[in-house]
Amino acid sequence: MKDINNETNEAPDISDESLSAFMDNELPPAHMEHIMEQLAHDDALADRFDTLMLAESQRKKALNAIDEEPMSVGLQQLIKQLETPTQSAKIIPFTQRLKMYTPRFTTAVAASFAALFGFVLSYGLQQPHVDSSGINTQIVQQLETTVSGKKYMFANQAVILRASFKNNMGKICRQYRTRETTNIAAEKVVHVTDNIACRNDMGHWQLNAKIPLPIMNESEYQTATNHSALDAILDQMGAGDFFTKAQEQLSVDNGWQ
Amino acid sequence: MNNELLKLIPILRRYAYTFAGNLHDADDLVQNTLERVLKKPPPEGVELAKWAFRICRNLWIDEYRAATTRQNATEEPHLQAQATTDGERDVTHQIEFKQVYEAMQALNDDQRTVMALVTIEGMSYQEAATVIDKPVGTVMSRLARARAALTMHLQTMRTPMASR
Repeated sequence: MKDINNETNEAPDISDESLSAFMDNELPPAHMEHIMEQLAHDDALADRFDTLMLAESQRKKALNAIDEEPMSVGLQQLIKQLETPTQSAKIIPFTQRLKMYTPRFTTAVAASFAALFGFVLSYGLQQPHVDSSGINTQIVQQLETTVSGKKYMFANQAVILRASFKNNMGKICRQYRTRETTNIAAEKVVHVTDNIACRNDMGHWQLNAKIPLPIMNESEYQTATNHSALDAILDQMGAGDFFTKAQEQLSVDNGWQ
Repeated sequence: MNNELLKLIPILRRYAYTFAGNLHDADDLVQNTLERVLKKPPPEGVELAKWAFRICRNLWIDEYRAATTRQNATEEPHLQAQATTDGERDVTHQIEFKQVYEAMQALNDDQRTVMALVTIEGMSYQEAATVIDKPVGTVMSRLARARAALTMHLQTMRTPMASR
């Protein structure tokens, strides 16, 4: 077993304290430079540094894993309260929506979705509540003019159009994913959301569903999708045949008429 | 403000966990923090995140640190870490989490506090020194000792497995 305290003796001029402060960029420039040079030439020092970095990385990874751990009941109840006052006008908890619009869904299934994903979503099946201002105007432009499969960057937000289809009311809808990065304290946090927008009778795009995926640290790679939730919504919207690329292009050319 | 608070929760949990060393107390600490923020929103000009961190930290120092109300949970980290684990979770992931959990348990309160302030709240050493009312050198040494201790514990835990 390595003992990093013993290893300190191999490079006596650079202490663990200095290495730790170096990791945090907290040393004077000359000292930072000195350690940088030593790291390039001193294998033992580089090994100590790598070991520290590995442990730091493991610690961060484990802390990020806390996001996957279920919250205490008390905290969950408080979150429900936080969600209610500001979002009740537009966002109704998933379980309530399912009860309102999808009688064939059992409460148990709805509850399991809620428990599994722990999110709320905005979902207007019959009368969408979210007006066109619910969609960023730049995204509206992409919905109007672009076929699926391409990624666009707007400031700190990335948008990828994923598919187009007609719902059970004959409205054209488009599914897209947004990925927004925000700085919170020392971390960059990534908010990924699956969205479905449909054209209304006036020919304007309206946000019909918004499904936040679990919040991630920027270093994590997002592979998971709430397929079940998304599929359930698509089912309820009666999403039938999805457009082919050619059909999408034709629709774009014709202004989605 | 509620939406901003909701966004803060994941980081507050990590922050609280770093102080508390177990999820049970961490969630309790986060819940208390949120309740206090709701009762007393940040003064004008103060960022919500910083306000919440400050309240969380003060709660930990003033109310939780001294209390050992959940000694049982902290004495049985295996139960604490795994009782809430999804059966399909990657096993390697669980082991790593448990190892880090145990390693963090081995740190003392002072070390965990400095680690939370600098590595999660993103404070400079100077800012952290002001918060704990100690010289910058103390922050530096506590953090270095915390990292060294974590590294040693993780190596110790990894070694027997690697030699199998």
